[in-house]
Amino acid sequence: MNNNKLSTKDILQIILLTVIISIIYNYFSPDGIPLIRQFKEITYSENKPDESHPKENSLSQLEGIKYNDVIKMFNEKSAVFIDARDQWEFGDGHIPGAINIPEFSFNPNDKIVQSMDKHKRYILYCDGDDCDVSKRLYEYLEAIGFSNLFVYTGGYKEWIKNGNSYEAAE
Amino acid sequence: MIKSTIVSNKHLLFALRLALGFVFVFAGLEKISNPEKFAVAIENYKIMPVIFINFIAIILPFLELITGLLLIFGICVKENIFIINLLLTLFILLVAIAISRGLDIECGCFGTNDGQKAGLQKIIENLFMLLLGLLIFFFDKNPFKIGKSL
Repeated sequence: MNNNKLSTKDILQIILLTVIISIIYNYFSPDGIPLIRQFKEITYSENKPDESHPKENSLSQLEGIKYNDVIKMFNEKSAVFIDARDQWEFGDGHIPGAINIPEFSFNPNDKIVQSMDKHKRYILYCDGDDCDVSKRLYEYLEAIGFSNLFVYTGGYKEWIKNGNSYEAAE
Repeated sequence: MIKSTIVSNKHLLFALRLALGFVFVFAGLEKISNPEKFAVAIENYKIMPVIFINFIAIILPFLELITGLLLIFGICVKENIFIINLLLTLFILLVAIAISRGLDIECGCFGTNDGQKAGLQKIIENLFMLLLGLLIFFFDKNPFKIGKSL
């Protein structure tokens, strides 16, 4: 054992130096990223694109969808519902016909994800306004080429609150 | 003590310092080249609030780079190896948590294009490096300090 002591002051100096250099580098670097990561803003457009003219996803925004449009698309069967919650929550009850892709264990190589048509319209949901997993899943799917995604921000709570039917695992 | 003589051999400790230093410099440089991809790799661990992710993705690669460089040049060895050992312990815990949650994700250890998974192999690699780090921490006698050198 040696007797040169650990200097807390030196550790703090090294960390401080690192923080300063990294922030300055990040500020001037063309690949720099914002200091604080945020979810993309959710926007709701008036005219929902149809299947033949899919929308173009924005880099800075998530496309949201309101209850009335959700019900319309559900009745028309013009969208596939994706439940981003965990499988036990999905098992307790979900929008009829929805498929479960838990955000928690999302894997782009998963069989379900691989078998999905990237240009089809998908509506992603989780519990409701205060959950983020549908937004995260939106970003994961968008990153691998899905181009017609919507986040149903009202989520399963709003769906049930309005007296709609649901499916549950037996 | 024979064992103590072997692990406190200054040539061996110098070689360990170089090896660990270069691993950290390489790991840091790879991540610095693409902070956004590294941020996504951190996000995939799903263990940290989203607002902190970018800050970590900016700072951590430089912390690896700077501690690695200082370790190679023998400056503040004890302090740098202390930071490196802390980081390695943190990495081991993160990968262990990812495994226990059944996450199938890239570890993001050496940038993001290496395709290495956050799995048992990563834990063993990091444990091995932590062992080397502890040897350096307890037996290296390099006296070069910031306070004394500047």
